[in-house]
Amino acid sequence: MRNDLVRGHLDGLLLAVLADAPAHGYEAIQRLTARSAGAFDLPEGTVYPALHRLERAGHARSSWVTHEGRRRRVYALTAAGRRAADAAQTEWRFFATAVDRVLGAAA
Amino acid sequence: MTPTRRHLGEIAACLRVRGRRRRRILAECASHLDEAAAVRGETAAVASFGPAAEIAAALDLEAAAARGATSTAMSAAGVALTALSTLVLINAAGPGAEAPPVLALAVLLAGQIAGVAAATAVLQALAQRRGSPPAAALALLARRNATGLAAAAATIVAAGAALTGQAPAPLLLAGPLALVAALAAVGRAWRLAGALPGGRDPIALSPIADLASLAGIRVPARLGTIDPLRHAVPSATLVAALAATAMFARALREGDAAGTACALAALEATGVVGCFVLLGPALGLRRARRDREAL
Repeated sequence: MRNDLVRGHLDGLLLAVLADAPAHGYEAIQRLTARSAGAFDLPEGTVYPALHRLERAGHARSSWVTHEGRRRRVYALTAAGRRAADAAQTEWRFFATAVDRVLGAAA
Repeated sequence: MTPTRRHLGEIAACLRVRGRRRRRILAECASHLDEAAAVRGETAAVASFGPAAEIAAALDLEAAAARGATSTAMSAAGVALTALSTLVLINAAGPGAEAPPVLALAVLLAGQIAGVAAATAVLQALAQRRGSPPAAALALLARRNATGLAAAAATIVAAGAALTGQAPAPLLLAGPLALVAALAAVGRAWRLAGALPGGRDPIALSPIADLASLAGIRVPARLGTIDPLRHAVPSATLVAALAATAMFARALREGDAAGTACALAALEATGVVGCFVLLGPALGLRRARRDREAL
């Protein structure tokens, strides 16, 4: 899948994977790859500007956690982030249904 | 040196942000590369992380946006506290105290410039809080904040030079101290935004559009005529007329003669138009002629 298509939805996708449970950057992108069955093949470093953006918007908060001697910055959704995740899901369903009506009808 | 450390060094070399934010970014990238290298090996970890320059540029832009948001909050607080300190200063002067006209005019004009600049900055920061604004927009945000702070400083200095009196020191100092702290934050945000690619590009952003996006409404076409970016002359005329009317009403309420009220209203209108012409491009409220020609 083209990376620019995924990038336009990266914030919403990250909100969805963080809604499952808090995660550090590496874990978040692994969840994204697993849940998309490998369809989203973004450069992994692009997840960090998006996570920082979610934090700036008040949708996520982060803190350093040490696990088995390794320091990780773990991100968790805030209440506003959960609402944003729900809103992103609703918006996507509406958009996807509309696109499907057009493209599906053409097929 | 391992491939992951070399890649981390390349990211560090490309990053322009300094200080705590830089340390956090590099620590996060190092943690990620170590995790990936433990699972897939060093070379695969570097390959899947992405190009150092591209990742660093996106992280820099996000850092600049975060600094823009923080410095705008500090700047708005600085302008508000300075307004409070200025009012305390004015009220501390006896009821019969009279300020020299030039200084009174300076307080009036600078105070309004501070308010307008701070309001446009807050609107812009709120409108772009969830997106990734370009570096030029972040540099404009810093200019709006800096203009608001400079004008607020001019207001309290002019008021202090014009009037004498006694007031509690904490109330008088709160504004100037907040201004200094905000100025340092705005300076850092401006330096970073200006150093990013495109950070020095000319840009103008309409506060009306920011307000509309915040309210989640589409501006009707007929209201679009008050957009200063599209119709500089009618919008400046409208704002000047509104400001002059407000000044006229205020002067009458305070017991001035109709002639004096008219003179004050004319002065206000002239000040608004003059500020729009002089500060419009710096505040991103209209495009400078050379930028219009370049477009």
